[in-house]
Amino acid sequence: MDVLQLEARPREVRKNEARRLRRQGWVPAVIYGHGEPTRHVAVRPLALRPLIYGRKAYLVRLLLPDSPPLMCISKEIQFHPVTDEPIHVDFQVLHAGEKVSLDVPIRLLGSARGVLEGGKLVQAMHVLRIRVLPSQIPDYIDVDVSELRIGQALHVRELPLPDYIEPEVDLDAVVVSVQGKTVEEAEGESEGSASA
Amino acid sequence: MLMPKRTKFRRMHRPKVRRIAKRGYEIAFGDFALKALEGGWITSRQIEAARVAMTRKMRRDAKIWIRIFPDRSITRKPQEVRMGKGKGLPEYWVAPVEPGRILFEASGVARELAEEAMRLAQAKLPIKTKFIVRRDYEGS
Repeated sequence: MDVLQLEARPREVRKNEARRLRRQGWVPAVIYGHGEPTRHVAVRPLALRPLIYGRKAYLVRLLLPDSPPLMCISKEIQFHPVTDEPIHVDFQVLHAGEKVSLDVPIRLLGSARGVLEGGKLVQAMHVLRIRVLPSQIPDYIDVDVSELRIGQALHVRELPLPDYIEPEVDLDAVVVSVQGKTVEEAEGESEGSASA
Repeated sequence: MLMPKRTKFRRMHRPKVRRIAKRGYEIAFGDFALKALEGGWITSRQIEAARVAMTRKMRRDAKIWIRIFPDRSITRKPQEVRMGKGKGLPEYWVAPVEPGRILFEASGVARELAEEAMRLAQAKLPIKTKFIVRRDYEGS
């Protein structure tokens, strides 16, 4: 699993401080963990790009000026509803031998048979929340969709997960499905082609 | 066109859209989306016009989701009627949209085609919008 090194600087917690930091080009963040004191810090938004746009899970090595580096995961990144810029990050400190919950991206492998037959592949779940030891965090969850036909779906309970990974979502939730054409879509198409 | 099947009251207040979206501002289903940059009301006719414009461009390969629903009735008095005598009859339906709200989502087509289809849909809407892509989208 890749480790992303991030520099963080401490920040004060007072009225309007987070807003002032964002204006100066920083992203407010918080560091917490089991038995750890909560620390309020700020990080540079450019350094967060792999966490935001990356298609794999990362470990984060946080460098703080007044303490040894901390191994963390990014637990949550909040975005501004209109501008889509990151406005806050949660980091959770990892402890060896202590399981942690995190979202791991789902990677689809192969092309579904149903798609070749005219269906549409619909990925309902893009990340899977799992509970796992820090040393066993996977980069992504691989899902083979090559055997899926029209009308079939793959659920969380059908994923080939190793024993040490516990999914923390509804086991009956759909991960990916192949849908046939609905009557409404077929009508919409004929309407579109007739007047086009 | 979209409208509620039944409502508890026929005539509603018309509050202004004053705040940014607190929900419905992240892509939830597809790979591409149209996001509102302004607040306003979008009528059921405008939603339908945008949907048809997108469907015609993207054809059969795309799956489209409509993330807003016109659940607020707007009344209008008939022409040449004096003021008073009660509120007018429901005329059309609108979806109040806050800045940041996702209006439409799509998947199953190339990014360029989706962008072009949503550009056509943008022209049918009364507010400024922007085309966005899922953050972990890797292309097809």
